[in-house]
Amino acid sequence: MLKFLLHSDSLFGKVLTIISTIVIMFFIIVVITDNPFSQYTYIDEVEEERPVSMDQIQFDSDRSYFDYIDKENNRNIYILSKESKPIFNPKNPKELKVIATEMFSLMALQEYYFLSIDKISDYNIHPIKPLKYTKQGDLLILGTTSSGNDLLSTITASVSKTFVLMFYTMASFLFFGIISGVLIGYYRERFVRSIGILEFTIKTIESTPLILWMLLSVIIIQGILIPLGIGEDSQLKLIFGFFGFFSSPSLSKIITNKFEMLKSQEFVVALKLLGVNDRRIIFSHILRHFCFSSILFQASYICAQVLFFDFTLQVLRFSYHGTLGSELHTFYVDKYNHQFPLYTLIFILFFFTTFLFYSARFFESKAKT
Amino acid sequence: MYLKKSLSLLKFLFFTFTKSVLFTSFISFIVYCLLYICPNSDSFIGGEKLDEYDLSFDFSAPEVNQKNIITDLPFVAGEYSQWLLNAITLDFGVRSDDQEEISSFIFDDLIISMKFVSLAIIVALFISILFLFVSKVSTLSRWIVQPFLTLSFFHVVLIYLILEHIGLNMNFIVIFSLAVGSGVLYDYYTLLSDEHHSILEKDYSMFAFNAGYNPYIFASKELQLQLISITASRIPIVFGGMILVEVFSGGGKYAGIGFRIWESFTDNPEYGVIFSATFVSILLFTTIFLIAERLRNNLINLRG
Repeated sequence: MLKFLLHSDSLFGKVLTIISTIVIMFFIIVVITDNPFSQYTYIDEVEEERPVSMDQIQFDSDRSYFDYIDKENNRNIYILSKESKPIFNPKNPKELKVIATEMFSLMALQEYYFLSIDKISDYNIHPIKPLKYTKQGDLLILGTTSSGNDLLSTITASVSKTFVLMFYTMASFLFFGIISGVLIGYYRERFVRSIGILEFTIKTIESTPLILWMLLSVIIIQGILIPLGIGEDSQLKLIFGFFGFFSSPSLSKIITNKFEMLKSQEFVVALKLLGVNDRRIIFSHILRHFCFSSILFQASYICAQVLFFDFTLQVLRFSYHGTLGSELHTFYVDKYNHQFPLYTLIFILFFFTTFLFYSARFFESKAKT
Repeated sequence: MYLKKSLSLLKFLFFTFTKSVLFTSFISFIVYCLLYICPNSDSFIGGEKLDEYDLSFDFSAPEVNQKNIITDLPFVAGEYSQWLLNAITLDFGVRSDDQEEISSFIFDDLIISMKFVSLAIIVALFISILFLFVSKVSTLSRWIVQPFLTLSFFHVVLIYLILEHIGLNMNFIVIFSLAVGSGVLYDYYTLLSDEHHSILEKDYSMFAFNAGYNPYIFASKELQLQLISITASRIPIVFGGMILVEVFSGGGKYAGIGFRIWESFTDNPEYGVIFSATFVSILLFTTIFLIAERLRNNLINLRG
C-alpha cells in the first residue's frame, strides 16, 4: 500500500495519489456501512426518493433563524423559528408582517423575505448547505440536492451501483480477455484453424470503434429486453458485460504476447518435461507470475473506462438512472440549480479517475519490471 | 517491374477485402440473429415467418414473442444470404416509413463521418510533426508541447466556452476537438515520436547522416510505412469521438453514420438502416485495420 502511495516520481503525483486513495477509501466505507452519518443514507430510502423533511433542520442554539439564499428569485430568506412568533400578513399567509424589532426592520429595508418555520414545507429550501444537522442528529455532510435528498446518500447510492457495473465489466473483460489470450498464445499450434477464426474475430472486434459496438449492443439489448418488461438494472448489467467483452481484445493481445514470449523459455520447457499439466503451467506459473501486473493494469484502465462510458450513455440519451454518470448528467442539465452537487460530483469523479490512473501506472511499471 | 508491383498490390487489396467481407459477414450474421429476436423488428426481418405463425394464432393466449432463433435458424440464414446477395449490388433494402432506398443516404452519411475523421487526423498529424521539430528545443518542449499534449475534451470544451463569443467556426472546433481530445493527439504524437527516433537512430540512418546525406531519404520507406500503420490505428478512436459529436450536436451538418444508427433507434426503430449502417462501418474498419496490419508485418520483415 505504501509502495503504491509513494510510487509517483513527482511530489504532486504523490499528493494526488494519497488524496484520491483517501477519497476512494471513504466511499468504499460509506457504501459498505450504508452511510453512518445520516439515517437518510440507506440506499433503498434514497432510491425511493424520500426527501429530507424540512422540519428536521436543527436551528443553531444562539440564533432564532435559519438563513437561506433563494437563487431562483435572487433574494435572501430568513426562516423564523417557532419562538420568534411571527405575525402573518392575512392577504398572503406565506409573507410575514415585519416584526417591529430593530434587527428585522433593518432586514426589511434590505429587502429580506421572511418565512415562518410552520410554512417551511411549502417553500423549496433545498439545496441545504453542507454540514447541517437534522433534528435526529444526522449529519448532512454534503447538504441536500434540489429535490431534497441527502446529497452524500444520493452519490453513495450511485457509487454503489457504478461499482456493481464495474464488477460486471471486469468479470466479462477478464474472462474473455484471459481465455482468448491463453487460447491464442498457448494453443495456436495445436488448433490452427479454430484459433485462426478466433484471432480474426478478435481482430474484427478490435478494428471497429468500441463506441459503435456499444451503440449496437444497447440497441439490441433495449430492443429485446424492453418489450419483455425486463428492468433497467438487468439491461445495464448486460450492457456493461458487453462493454467488458468488446474491450477484452486489448487484454487478450497483452496475454498472447506474454505467452508467445514465454512458451519457448527454458522454465516452461522444463515444466512440460516434468509432466506438469497445461492448466497448471498456464494459471499457476505464467498468468500468476508474469501476467498478473499486466492484468491489474488493464483492469484499472477498464474501470476508468466504465466511468466514462457511463456518462457517454447519458450523452447518447439512453436514459438509465441511478449511476454516477446519470447523476452527473442530471446535475449538468439543471446546472443552475445544482451547482454545488455538480462540482462536488466532478471532484469525486476526478479523484476516482486519478486513483485509477495512478493504479494503472503503478501496475504498468510493475509489469515492466 | 512496375506491372508486377501493381499486380501484387491489387492481389493484396483483393485478398484483404475478401477476408474482411468474410469476417464481417460472419459477425454480422450474429448481429442479424440478435435483431431477429427483437420483437419489433418484423418490418426488417421475420415478418413472413410471423405471418406463418399467425395462421394458428390463439387470440385468447397472452401475447408472446413467437420468434425462436434456434428453430428458425435455417429461415434466418436464408434471409441473411438473400440480404448479403442484395448488398453486393449495393441494395440494402428500403426504409420502412418512407420507402427510401437505404443505399441512397448511407454512403453520404459515411462520407460525412469520414470527412471529419480524416480532417481531424490530418490536423493531428500536422500538429504532431510540428511538435516533433519544436520539441528539439527543450524549453519549447517543456512549456508548449507537453502542456498542449495533455489537452482533453474537457479542456477543449472549456476553451470553447471562453472563446464562444468570438464566433469561431464550428467545423474548426469539431475537427480540433476530435484531433486533440480524449488523448488522441497524445497517443498519436507519442507513437510517431518513438518510431521517428528509433528509425533515425538506426545504423543506416546514422551512417547517412554522418556521411552528409539526408537520413530521411534513406529511411523514407520505413518512415512512410510506420506513419500509415500508426495513422490507420488511430482512425477507430477518432471515429468513436465523431459519433459522440454527431449525437451531441443533434445531427444537422454533422449527421454522419453514427447519428444515423442512433436516430434510427430513437423513435420508431428502423432495424434495416441500423443493420446496413453497422455492416458498412464494420467492413470499412476491418479493411483499414487489415491493410495497416499487413503494412506492419511488411515493416517487421523489412527490419528482419
